[in-house]
Amino acid sequence: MDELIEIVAQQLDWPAEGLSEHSSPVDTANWDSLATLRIAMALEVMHGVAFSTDELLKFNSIGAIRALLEAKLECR
Amino acid sequence: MLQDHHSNLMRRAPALARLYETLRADYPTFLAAVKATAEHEPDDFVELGGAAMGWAESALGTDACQMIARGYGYFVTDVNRQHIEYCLRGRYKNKTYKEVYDSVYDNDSYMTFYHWGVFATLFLWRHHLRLYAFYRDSFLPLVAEKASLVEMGSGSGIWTAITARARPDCRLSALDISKSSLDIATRVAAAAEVGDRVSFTVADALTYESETPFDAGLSCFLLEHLEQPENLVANLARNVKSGAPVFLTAAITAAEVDHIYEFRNEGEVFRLIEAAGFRILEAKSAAPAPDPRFKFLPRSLGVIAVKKTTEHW
Repeated sequence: MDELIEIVAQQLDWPAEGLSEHSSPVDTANWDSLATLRIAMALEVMHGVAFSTDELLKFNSIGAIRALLEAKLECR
Repeated sequence: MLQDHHSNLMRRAPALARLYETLRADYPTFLAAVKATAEHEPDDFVELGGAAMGWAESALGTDACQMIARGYGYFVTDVNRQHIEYCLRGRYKNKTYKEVYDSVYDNDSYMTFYHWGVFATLFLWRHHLRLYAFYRDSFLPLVAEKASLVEMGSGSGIWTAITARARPDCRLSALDISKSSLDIATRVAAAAEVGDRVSFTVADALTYESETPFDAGLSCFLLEHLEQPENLVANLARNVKSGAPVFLTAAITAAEVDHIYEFRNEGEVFRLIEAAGFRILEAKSAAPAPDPRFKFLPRSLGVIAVKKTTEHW
């Protein structure tokens, strides 16, 4: 199972099988601003990165989060 | 369902509907909570949100929805982060005004978003809307006809505009220590078409002295930003007449980046207000939906009191 999708599923308390790159707060239950922050904080702990508020405001889908995370990891 | 909701909003409050659409398209992580507010408090959401977004659009022009949505996003993200850290730490991050000034108030770009973010919480947060309804239904009827009101710490001016619109017979003196806040409040008042009955003054609410005491007073979302909130309440008491009704709000176990004074319960606020010479008439404490994962439940408290005319009343 994809690591990012597992983290999102865990933070949303939602089955990972029901999530995809296109899943977003608009169509995913339990995905509110607090859940977004919890997803970010889990990724920060796991990868040793830090997301700014500007970046958090772009956490609009799993695909968008993946792109932001990969860009951060490439810059290290 | 979402489309029906949006169509209904568009019909009743087009400016609010445009903000809703901006949130859905660009900041969807904030939509669930706003949708819950709209569903649970539909009439107040449309009444205040529609009016306030109309004022914001007049004040900010075509950028209003983006500015408000982005400001709200910034503000709520910070609130969420501060609350998580507060629950782990057990106390607010900042304890002095200087710490907050250096990290928040002295940051112009942050403050622009901050002002409009706070502005939007009054109609986008369900528990803030309940305070608004309490103010409208329980406090404003206590204000005498053709009264003069003082507002200490008017911030973005949303309470000023609400008051002046609801009470066209009254005049307001609004003061704030921040000139940038007053600039926004002045624009909001003009947009609300109440500028002729509101005077704005750059002044410190802790030391301000009016030549003539006011008939009523209010101070919203300020107590928790002070190192010694009792000084604000005492100065409010000095500037209103005996028997004058006042309205105060306080944040309780609600961490935000610029909250300094940590009220742990409603009783602390009541004691502080009574100690300044007021008698409490009525209060409302409102909270967001409780989340059992967190140690603290943030609340917003609204208090209606009168300045005592005797030792007891």
